Amino acid sequence: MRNRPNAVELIGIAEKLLSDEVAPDLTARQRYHVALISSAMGIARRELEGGVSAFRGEIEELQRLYTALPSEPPEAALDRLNRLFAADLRAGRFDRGANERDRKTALALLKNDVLARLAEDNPRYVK
Amino acid sequence: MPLVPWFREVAGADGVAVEDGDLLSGGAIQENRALSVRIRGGEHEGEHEFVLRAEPLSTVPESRPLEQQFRLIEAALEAGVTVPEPMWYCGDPTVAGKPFYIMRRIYGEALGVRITRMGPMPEIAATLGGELAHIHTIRPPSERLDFLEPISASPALDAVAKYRAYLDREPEPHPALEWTLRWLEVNAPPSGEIVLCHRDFRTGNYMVNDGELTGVLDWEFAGWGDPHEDLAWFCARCWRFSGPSLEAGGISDRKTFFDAYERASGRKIDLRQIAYWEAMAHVRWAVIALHQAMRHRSGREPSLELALIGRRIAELEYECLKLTGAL
Repeated sequence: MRNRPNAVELIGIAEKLLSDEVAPDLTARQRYHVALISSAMGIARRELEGGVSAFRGEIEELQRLYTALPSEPPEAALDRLNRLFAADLRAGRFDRGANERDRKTALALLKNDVLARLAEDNPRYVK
Repeated sequence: MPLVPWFREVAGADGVAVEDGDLLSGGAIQENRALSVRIRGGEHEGEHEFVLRAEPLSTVPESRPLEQQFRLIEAALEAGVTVPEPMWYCGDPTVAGKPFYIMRRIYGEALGVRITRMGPMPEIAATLGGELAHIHTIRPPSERLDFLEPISASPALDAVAKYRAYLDREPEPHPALEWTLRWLEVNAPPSGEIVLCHRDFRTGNYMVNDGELTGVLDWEFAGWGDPHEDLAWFCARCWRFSGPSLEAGGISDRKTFFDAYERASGRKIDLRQIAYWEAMAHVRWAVIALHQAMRHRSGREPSLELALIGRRIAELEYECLKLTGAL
């Protein structure tokens, strides 16, 4: 078992030190670079706090449309099922007028996935 | 032939002195260097502040070669667009190490974040509406712009096919972008007028000095297309920087910009087509962002700035879902 603080806690306190103690004394160019670093650390911290995907129900929702293989690790299933999903979207399987239940599932999946990724990547974007 | 004799030749001068200035920030794509040039004799006699624009090390797909950019700026100037005056193009790599062109230097602020922090600028938005109308007076066929790819019956469906081809080269699937492209395919508008589109007409690509527009920049993506594409690109959420509620480029409301365009062009803007091309705008930025992130991921250009662009795609997909009624 690992010792604490864990990865999320370490990144969190490092971010705080960077913004409280380092950033104020820097030139504009250095501050810009610190902002990039803080942004990357924030995304990494929120990603670590989540699971294999940003949207926690992603695999379950995908399985309402496609079948995961019993032996498949979650990362492989996510990749494969999303490939099927993307191809079907392109082919028009979820167009208006198609199977209404599948279309609803697809739309909910797209929405929940994008909102969850947005919350990880830029939580202040949607106000 | 080195730079000074080259200048003497193209300017028809007796003598030329060149003072190398700063490297100007030209965004992630281009390389710009300021030059002070003193010309003795010939029709350009006098002191000049120029910018030397050279081909960068790595380019974004679709970015036009410098010579074509130069021809486009010449055509724009002739059509009455405010641009930095294009002086000379040089394709001989022995002069400055690679091809370049010289334009007259313009001054002011171009950075999107800073421009949108200055507060609303309706006069600039109206001026830009007029500028865009001037650009859109250039129409095919054009002999001097014969390098522009001919447009098919549907610029919209052409774009859908092109962005799908980009997605096919990506290692990961992108369902939200596929959804949007399908929507764009099904809802493609009938083909309208074909004009010269700037294709990157937005805040960040024009310069403002003391409340005056000094130039429309960055012509490397221009090509034949639907006028609504440029109008929508200017208004897309991803180009509003610090002013997200000012829907025209983060500097004014849409009406000011659209009214000025309609007045100057005599064309009636179709708002449904604006919404359509706005969704297309976010897909386009998303595929560019995927490409930028890949420059980092491939190991060719390790850069945190490029890496973070890869995590901006959710914002663009959010806008796509909103515009296609999926949110």
